[in-house]
Amino acid sequence: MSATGGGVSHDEVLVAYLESGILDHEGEAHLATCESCQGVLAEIDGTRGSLAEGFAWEAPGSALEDAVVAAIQAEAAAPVAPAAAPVPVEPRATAAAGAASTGTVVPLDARRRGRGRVATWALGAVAAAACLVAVLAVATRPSGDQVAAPDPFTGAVVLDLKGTDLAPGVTGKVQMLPTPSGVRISLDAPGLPRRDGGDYYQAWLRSADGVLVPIGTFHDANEQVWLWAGVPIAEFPTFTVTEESADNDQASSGKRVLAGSLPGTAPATTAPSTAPPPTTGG
Amino acid sequence: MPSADLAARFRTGDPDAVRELYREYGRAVFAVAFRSLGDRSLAEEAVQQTFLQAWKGADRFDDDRELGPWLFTIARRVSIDLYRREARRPHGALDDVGEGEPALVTLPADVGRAAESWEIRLAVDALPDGEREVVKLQHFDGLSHDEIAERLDVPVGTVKSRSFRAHRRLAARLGHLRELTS
Repeated sequence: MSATGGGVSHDEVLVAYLESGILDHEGEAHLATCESCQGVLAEIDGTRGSLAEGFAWEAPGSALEDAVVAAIQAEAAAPVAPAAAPVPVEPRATAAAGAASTGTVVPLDARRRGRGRVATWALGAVAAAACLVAVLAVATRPSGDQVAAPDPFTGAVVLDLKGTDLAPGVTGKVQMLPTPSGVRISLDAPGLPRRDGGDYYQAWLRSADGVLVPIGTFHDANEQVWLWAGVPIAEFPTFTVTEESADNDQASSGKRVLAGSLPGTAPATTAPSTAPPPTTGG
Repeated sequence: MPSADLAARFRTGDPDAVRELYREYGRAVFAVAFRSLGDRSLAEEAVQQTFLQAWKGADRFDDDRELGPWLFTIARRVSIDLYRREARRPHGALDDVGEGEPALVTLPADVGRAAESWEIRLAVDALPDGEREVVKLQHFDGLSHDEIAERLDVPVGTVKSRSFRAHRRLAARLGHLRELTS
């Protein structure tokens, strides 16, 4: 302890205050004339409230670091020039994109120099799209496919849904945002009739080989519906909605009312794109 | 402290540099976002966007400057943008109010304290583990020194000394906040 005059030390004052928030007569007398202790105690009082709040202690999920690294690496490996890009890209950047397609981590300096020639909006959209797809499933995307352009700010992919013969004329929109916790999905399908009384809708993600993953149930998609998926959307690229009933049968009824697939992946239906998706299947 | 060439390596997308920067500042970015947004999931989204936007803007970063304040600026802006995005989502009876209604799009209540959040979190993270644990149990969990000693199975004198040292460190590091707000 650092002793001072008056029979009580700075340290004793601080320890006593930290323990109880109260000082005895000696401590108060010391504090009245000690600028050092006044400063420290004022600082403790100033931050005491903040130190009791979650922001000072809560930590992000352990998966977030990997997600951040993957997002930046995927962006780094993104193709630089889309087919529709109005301005040519420097050969060096194109070479970098080629290397990226083979899985090589490409230094970004060259890519950045190439970017200066390309419209900012196009780069942002393409880079974000490639980021998402590369993070989720680089290997499954056939070359030459167009990739959905995510929102340039949020990185969410927007997917359009078509009604089947069970919901003719109904369309919907899905936004899928990968987060460290899973894929956060919002669904809007105005015009889809509400289902009540033990009947409801169920949303699914389906893989190319037909594996179905349920991602939530709801009554009404006229209001925004929030769903969560724990599978990568590039491996489960087809989004469907089926009619279900509370009948203790957890399998899909097969009565599909809405469907849509990520661009650049297997379509939701083998029928021509102008036709509605089939009404059967999950 | 981050290594001197971290900014340059981060600019190239070097995964080790990204991890180094994340481990140095990720929790502080999360603190700013969590306090502003009040939601873990959104705060994590803000962290990811902050680092991604930092990387996208790394060309414009001056290597002679410190990375921390630059990341803080991005984190604060991202948190405000996410807050505004969430505020625009329809909420029941407010659906009838137009999207552009100014009352619906305000700044988060704690965004003005973003700098404080950042500084406090960095100061807390800089404490030695044993001291940080004592401060957390004392302030966040509301335990007395005796209760902390029992929880950690250490003498109460150890708790007092750790608490003393930790608060000395915090006071030294955060003193400028009191000067700013006084």
